Amino acid sequence: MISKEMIGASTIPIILSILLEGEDYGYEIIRKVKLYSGGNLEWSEPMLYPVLHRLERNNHIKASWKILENGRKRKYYSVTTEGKTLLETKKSEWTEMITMLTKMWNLKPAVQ
Amino acid sequence: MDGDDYDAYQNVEPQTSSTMSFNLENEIRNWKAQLRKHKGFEDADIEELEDHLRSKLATLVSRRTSEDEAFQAILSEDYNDLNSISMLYSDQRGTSSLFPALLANYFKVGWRSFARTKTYFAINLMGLIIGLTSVLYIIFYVNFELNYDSFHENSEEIYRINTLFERGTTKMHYPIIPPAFGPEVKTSFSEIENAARLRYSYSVLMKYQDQSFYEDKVFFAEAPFFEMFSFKWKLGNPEGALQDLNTIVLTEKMATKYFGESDPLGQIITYNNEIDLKVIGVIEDVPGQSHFTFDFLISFETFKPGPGSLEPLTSWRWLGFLTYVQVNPNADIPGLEKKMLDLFQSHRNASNTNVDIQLQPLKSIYLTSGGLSNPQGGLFKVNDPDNLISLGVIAVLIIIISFFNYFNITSALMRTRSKEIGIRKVFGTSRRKVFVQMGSETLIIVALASLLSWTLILFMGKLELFQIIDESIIIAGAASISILVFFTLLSSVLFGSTFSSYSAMQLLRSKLSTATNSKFSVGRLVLLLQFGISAALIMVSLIVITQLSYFSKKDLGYSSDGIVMAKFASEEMNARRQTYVDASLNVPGVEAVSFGPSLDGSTSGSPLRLKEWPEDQVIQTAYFGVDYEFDKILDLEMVSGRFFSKEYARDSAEALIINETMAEMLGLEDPIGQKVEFARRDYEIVGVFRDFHYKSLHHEIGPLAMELWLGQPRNVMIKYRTENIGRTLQNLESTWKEVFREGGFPFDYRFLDEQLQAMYQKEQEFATLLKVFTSLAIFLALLGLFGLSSINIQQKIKQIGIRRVLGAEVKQIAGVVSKRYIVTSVLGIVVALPFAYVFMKGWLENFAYSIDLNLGFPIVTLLAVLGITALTLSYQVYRVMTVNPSSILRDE
Repeated sequence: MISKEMIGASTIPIILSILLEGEDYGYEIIRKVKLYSGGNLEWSEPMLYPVLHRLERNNHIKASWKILENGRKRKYYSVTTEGKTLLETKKSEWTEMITMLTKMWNLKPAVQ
Repeated sequence: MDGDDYDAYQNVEPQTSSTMSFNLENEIRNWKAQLRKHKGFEDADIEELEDHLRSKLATLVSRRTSEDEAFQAILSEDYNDLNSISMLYSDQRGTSSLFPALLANYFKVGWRSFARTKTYFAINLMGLIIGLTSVLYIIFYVNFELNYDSFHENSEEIYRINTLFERGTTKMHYPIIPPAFGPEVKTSFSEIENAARLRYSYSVLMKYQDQSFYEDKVFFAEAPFFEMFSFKWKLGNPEGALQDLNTIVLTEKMATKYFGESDPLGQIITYNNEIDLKVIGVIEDVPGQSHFTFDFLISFETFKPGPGSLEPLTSWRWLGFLTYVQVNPNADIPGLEKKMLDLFQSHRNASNTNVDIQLQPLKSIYLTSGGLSNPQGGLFKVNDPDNLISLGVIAVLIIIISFFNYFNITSALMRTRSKEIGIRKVFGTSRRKVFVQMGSETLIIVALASLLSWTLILFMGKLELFQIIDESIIIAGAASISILVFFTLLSSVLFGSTFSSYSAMQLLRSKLSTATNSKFSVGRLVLLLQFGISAALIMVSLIVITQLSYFSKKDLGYSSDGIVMAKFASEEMNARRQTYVDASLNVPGVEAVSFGPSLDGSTSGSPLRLKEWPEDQVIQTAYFGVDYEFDKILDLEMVSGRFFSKEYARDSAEALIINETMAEMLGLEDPIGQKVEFARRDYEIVGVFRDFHYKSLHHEIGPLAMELWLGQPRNVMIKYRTENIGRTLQNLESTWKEVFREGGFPFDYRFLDEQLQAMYQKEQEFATLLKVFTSLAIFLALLGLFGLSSINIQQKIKQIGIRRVLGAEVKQIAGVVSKRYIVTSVLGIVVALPFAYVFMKGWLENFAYSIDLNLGFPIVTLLAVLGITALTLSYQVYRVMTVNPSSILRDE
């Protein structure tokens, strides 16, 4: 079980990382998160969409409606320049943390 | 929207088709309509969610799930709480954080959550309304009882002079004093500003023109009465009223009874066919909040001690006058009592009794006169403060039960809303906001309940009955507001902290264990307490009801059936006494006719001692004057000796019969033939009769003596066989009219058993209140139990559904869901009943004759609670079992 603090802190970098691979829509984002986490992290749409909308309002991502083959509409999100900058910041924060923790755990194995 | 045409087409399909096929487009359309009802979703959001739904559906269907199942699964998994999802959408849009707007939002969300759970909302609301209305009613009632006589402007300064006597081992406490005492204190002590004597006039025949009635509520009163007491005048002038000889003041009701529409002032009413009284005033009927009541007040000047009276109005020995004094506001009451005692002692020469004088404050008379001898039972109202305390306890219990219900049901419901709160937490909603949200929801429902309760109370018209004064409105209002604040604060703390203690993920996953699942939890403790309180209340009410019905069934020592009594209080009637007896005995069915005491619980008494005893050793003894036939009326059983008989000429002069209690107190093996002094005259004991209850059952049977009295009676008693009562009474009435054609004496009869019941009127009023409120408390407890089990079972509904699909039997399922309740309820009862038992033991000690507290009460209570619990549960299980399991699974 992943703690709520971790989920809270990781949501935005995860979304931005997925969108960095190319534009995407909500259902796929959730599917990819599940895939990448090996099934350990399962987001629900009521949780995801408000976050997407907030990122959109803060100009970290942008959205566009596309018409599908069957005539339906789908909202795609893609990351903006500001979003990329934000992701870079997050990335360095996370890398720093992971590097540090890995070091510590390698030095002292089997912390009880 | 591109699906619309298709939807419209599908809609035309007839709905009567027996196999209701699943129509995805229809379902999605309905679902979208649902979303649109929530303000959080904008059109774009809904379209995005629809796309998401369809994508997810496609995936699931590709895994060989049917469209129907897949759709239901998604809906129950992701969209079962549209409120909270909608709120998240509005939250991220940046709802203003200004407090009122936020609060308004919480109210909105709260309202929606109420609307979503209508049944429980109704249970909660109903429970609160019943609880609040009961509490308000009890507050008004108790406040009414506590404020007797406070409508008099001078109520703080008025006291009644009481006397306490101690003769030998018996103590007597009287609200009356000798006639010379009142005027003397007024002239002797400067602290006393005013004094008024009242003398009760026994049943009186009042005659106006050609109509006459017997009246019981008649007093002679001294003129200062109206200066001291604030009775409202309708006609006439209170100044100088009752100063003149042969004047009378009456109540509005009596004015209408005698004079109808015509002006009562100056009219003449004849008193006992003897004295003409001039009406000089009409006052409003005596308010219900007065400790004594009257219909007529005759000027004291008019009062003349009757021909049988031994004492003049200057007597210091004749205990027979109510005396009220109004003191200076700064008066030292204990000092004044001492001075009055000295004055009293200086005028008495009897040394064989200890005496004391008490100034009883007017406002406390009603509640502190339980131990006083009440010479004119019906006219003086008393109540036991314990009754008010009991009611207060019930009010507190009702509020506790209401809150427990509310807490139980709401917290169970909250668990179903955990997703909403969890999501808010992910978004960093502060703890404070969760508190405010929970509090505001409670605020809405309690405020609504309070409003409805007040409306109910006001419309019941009870305020009018209680002559509600501003003060009680303020008290009840303050109580109302305190309850509101208390509920709001407590629920926000309880619910808020419950939620703060869970992590967001736990809340989101909805894996909150139902609080009652674990062995020890607040929810379970509350449930246990609730059961305990309901059980205790059920037992308390059982005991109260049993005790009170014991009153009406207890063997009085004589049969009160088939006895009718009528006023026989004039000399003119007495002159035709024998004619009347002969005529009545000729009526078929009539067994005996006797003239004697009124048997309404009132007695008079005198000291009695054996001649061989020293002067100061006496037993205060109640006294009945009876005729030769009295034993036939009551089926009086002689234990030894004989009843009065015409064969013994000296019976009328010096024979006395006594009851068993008296015989025991005299301490003689054979009291027959003993010489005694009674009321300062010499007698010989000729018989001992079996004890019977000559007073109300509040009192133990005391010493009673009977003497032959053939003079002017007050009552005639007729015993008849109980078949054909209607005809017997008709014949008795026509006989009466025939004999007493002249004088216009009405046949004003009453049945002895009804009269006896009237002695327990206060108990019956209190019993009714107690029954109503304990029933309500029990009902509330059951309502809570019902609501709570329903929610818990609904949470287990999926489990039950699966079990049913797997072929589980009703018995097994019922066992699963009810085991916990049964265990908790038995535990609660076991804890609570001893407390209730001890409490009721104390209560029963107030009664001279009470029921035995046996094990039957706790057993019946246990069975009742378990039975009702089982019923509630079976209903719930039945509901689950009759629902199609697939629909249960789908809903989840």
